[in-house]
Amino acid sequence: MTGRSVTVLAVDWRRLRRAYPGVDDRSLAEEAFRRGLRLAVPPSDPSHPTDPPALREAFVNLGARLAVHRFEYVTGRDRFASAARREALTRHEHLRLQREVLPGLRARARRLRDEVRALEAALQARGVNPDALGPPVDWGAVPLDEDPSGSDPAAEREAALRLFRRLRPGP
Amino acid sequence: MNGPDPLEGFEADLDHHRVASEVVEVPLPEAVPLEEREARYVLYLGLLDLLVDALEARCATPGEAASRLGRALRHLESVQPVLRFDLFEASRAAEAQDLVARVRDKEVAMATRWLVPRLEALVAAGTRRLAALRAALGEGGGR
Repeated sequence: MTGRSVTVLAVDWRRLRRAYPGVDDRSLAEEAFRRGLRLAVPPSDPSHPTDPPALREAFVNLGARLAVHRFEYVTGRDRFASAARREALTRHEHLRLQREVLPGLRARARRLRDEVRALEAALQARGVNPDALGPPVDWGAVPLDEDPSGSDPAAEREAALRLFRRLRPGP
Repeated sequence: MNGPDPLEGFEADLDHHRVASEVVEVPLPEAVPLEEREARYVLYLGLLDLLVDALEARCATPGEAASRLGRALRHLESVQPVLRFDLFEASRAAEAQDLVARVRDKEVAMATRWLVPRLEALVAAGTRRLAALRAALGEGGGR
């Protein structure tokens, strides 16, 4: 044996150990790998086997394929859940910014800009240069009229997911 | 059957939503130069073959073993499409969600670290400018 190992679901390994009480793990692993390597060929006819050898072959082959898929699903459950949680967290934060923070700040800045411009015009009408009061505000530093709060984040998300589905080939 | 059924609990453990996620490490023999996923498949082939041997050894007749094996195989066939679909769908959804979250994270960071501070600075500068203009125009500054 080397230092390498492979992980499998504990329920499956325990079932094998129960079936062979008294046989140690290393011997079971060696025998399972020896047989597995011999059996790792495509099944001859997997459809509705009835005779015992064909039944065994179908059971072992389908069982092994499903066991690998089930292992990947079961050990991926945490990752699947955390991806969903992270997506929800960023969606809520994005929504909060787009609906509660940015529109208010932009609207306040726009009101100030309009008021300032009106008063600057009034001052100029009196023959006074507003720049004498200090440097003017650079209202173009941030886009004030761009307000995406009217968009539907759920629809945007769906559109993005549809795009990803199209980009990704099927199984 | 002579002794406990080697496949006892086999069907129930195929429920990928409920089966325990605990894993065990099985040592890999030197003569198995396979990647982990391939090695897992090979190990499961041998593991199931050994279970069939145990089943046949404990059954009184070949027919009894074939009947039990047939039942297990039918269950495998019934869960196969659901498991494959769930695995594909969950993997695809997780990848898409990861991608969406990464993009959105950048947008949120852009907004909180760049846009919001600049908008706040603009509002502060505009407020100061407004006060100065009102003072110059002799307004009361009631707004």
